[in-house]
Amino acid sequence: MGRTKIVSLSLVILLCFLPLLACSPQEDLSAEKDENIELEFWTINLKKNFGDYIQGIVDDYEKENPNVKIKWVDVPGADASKKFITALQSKEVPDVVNLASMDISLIKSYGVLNPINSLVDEKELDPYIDGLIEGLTFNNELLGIPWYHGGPAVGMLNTEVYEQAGLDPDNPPQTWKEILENGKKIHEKLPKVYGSNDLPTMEVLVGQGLPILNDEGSEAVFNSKEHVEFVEMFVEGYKNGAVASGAVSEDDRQLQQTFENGQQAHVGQKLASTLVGIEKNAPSVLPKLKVFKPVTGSEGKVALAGIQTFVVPKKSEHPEEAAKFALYVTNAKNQLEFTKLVAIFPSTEETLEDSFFTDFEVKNIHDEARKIMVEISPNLTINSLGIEKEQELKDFYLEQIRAALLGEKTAKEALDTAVEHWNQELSK
Amino acid sequence: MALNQVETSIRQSVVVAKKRRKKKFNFIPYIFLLPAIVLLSTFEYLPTLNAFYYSFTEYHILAPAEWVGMENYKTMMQDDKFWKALGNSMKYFLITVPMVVILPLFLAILVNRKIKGINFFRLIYYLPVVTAMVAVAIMWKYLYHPSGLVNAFLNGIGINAETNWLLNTKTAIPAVSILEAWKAMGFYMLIYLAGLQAVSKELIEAARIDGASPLRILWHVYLPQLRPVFAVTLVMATLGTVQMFTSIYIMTGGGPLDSTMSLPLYIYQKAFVQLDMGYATAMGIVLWVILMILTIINYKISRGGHSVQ
Repeated sequence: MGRTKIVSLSLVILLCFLPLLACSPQEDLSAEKDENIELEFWTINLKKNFGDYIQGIVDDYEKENPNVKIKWVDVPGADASKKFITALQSKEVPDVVNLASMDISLIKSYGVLNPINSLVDEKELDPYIDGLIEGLTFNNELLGIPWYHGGPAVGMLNTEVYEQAGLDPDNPPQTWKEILENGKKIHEKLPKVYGSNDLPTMEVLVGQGLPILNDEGSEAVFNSKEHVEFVEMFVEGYKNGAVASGAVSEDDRQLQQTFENGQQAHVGQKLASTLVGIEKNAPSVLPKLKVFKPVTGSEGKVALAGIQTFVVPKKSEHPEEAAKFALYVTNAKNQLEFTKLVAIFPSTEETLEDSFFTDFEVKNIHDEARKIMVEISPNLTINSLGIEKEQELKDFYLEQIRAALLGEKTAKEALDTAVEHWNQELSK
Repeated sequence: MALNQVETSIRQSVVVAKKRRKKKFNFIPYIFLLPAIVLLSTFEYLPTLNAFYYSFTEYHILAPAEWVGMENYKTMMQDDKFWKALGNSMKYFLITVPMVVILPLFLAILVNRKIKGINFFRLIYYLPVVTAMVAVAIMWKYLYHPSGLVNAFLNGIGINAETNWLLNTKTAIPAVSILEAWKAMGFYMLIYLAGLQAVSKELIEAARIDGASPLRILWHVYLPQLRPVFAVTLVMATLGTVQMFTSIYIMTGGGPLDSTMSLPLYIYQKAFVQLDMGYATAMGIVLWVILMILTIINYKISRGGHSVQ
């Protein structure tokens, strides 16, 4: 065999098996010495804008705990949960992972997360807002340490549209009935402008004091006469323009009638962070907007759709140290620093009591929104029912609501169908 | 004696030559095929076999797969959403395929002329093909907006239109199909163009001398010669409609009320949103079978691609 052939052959074989090297189990090269441990710490997309802040926390922690080395990995993009799920199947599992609360609901039934309350003292959880801890507790197991969130929703209205429709912008709607009535008047007067994109979501039902499940949590009960009447209000609103025609869109990030394009008059519950987008995309619209207390029902509770948390996988080799580090990252001091960098809300009560939140000058609409959010923050809860396939069931419910709005079903038929489906799943 | 010796020595040399030939079996080409085989097996065939196994299990990624036999396939038979997605694929087929099989032919005839600047038109018609579907889909969303260009145009010509094209269960499928057809048309135009340019010049010349009108030449000379090209475009377009995903994902997310849901999108939702891998792979296998059947038809019609050449 000629030399060329041998060389080619070797190259070919190398080409075949080189990729397989990547699959080899990675032995821990940094063979830990006795008590020295390394914690792999995952955040979602924070390195670019808040790299110094996170690195600062890591450095401080390592200084205070010389036996702990933190390996910080910033996972880019929205696929963080999928990457985490993939990592859980491998041998290399991160120890402290930033995960959205919605993703905890998705994976909680597989028992892959360490209950935080078994890793830390109960009193160490005292600084966190009760409602948030409750929202992350399933069957007495706290599956995540609450971190930051976008803040509770606020109400917003376009003052120019209100004035053109003969309504008083200084007297914003306080109930769903009022907001739908105003929307109807506006659409009658200005046919191109709609009321809002609000739908009777589960969060709205909860805020309205309408129950989703029975006391035992075993059956869905959201098809009572009160529920039907409440949903019918929105169905009627969809017909008369109080609810925007594009509100039935599957993706709520791609609504058709928005403040930006001037076709939306108001909204009962919306994250204040949307104001940043409006300021960027439609700067001329922002001065026309006014924020007000979110529309809620008699309960006055505001349900957050989700919050960022830290979880500790069961496969972590150092779960207690991992939980301790997560507590450090989310402590009141560190959260206060974080909230000063970006318009987010903390999960610790003490942070909210700082003058940064209680005593600030209201200079613009963002500050106004922040003032409202601080006022209602103690009433926060996470909209989590703690049932299997929760997101899937909520999606099914919303699909039925859309069917009712589009006139494919009556409100009663839609709610009955959803309840029947829920009960079928709950009985499994 | 001498003759015998010669005969023996010839026989021996033949045997040796045969042996040598046998020894010299050329394994080099196979070795060069090895990398492709290894890579294809690792990333294509093994996962396919794996998927086939998972389709008989209940598997949610985080928990070990549990064998459930035909359960997923039984569920599929009773799953309205699955049948709706399959029915929608049929609707996409009925609207998109005629558009991408017939219209590009006329485009191809149009750009098959030797006039000044024809390359510019070819480029214009081909541009949507090379544009990213995500960008195109977002752009078309604006066109279909209730106060978008489509309604503005209809109002301009006196048709009072307030249709919410993408949020109406009756118009959403045609709206998405038109975008798909618009995007793919340039590609099929190119196939037809190649077909047209392969039509024998002598035939056309002969038809002209016989006094055939341009329409007659098109009908009796061009079209019969393009038959295999038609077959290929037909099957390719069918395969394309069965696999529609991006445009639907971006424009409607499968809505309203699943009226635009396609099978690939439903599989994606089951697998990566709800993590129900067992059921998703079962549907994937069904989709695979459908695509295989269509591919075999494609192969038969185009006679392994010979007739196209």
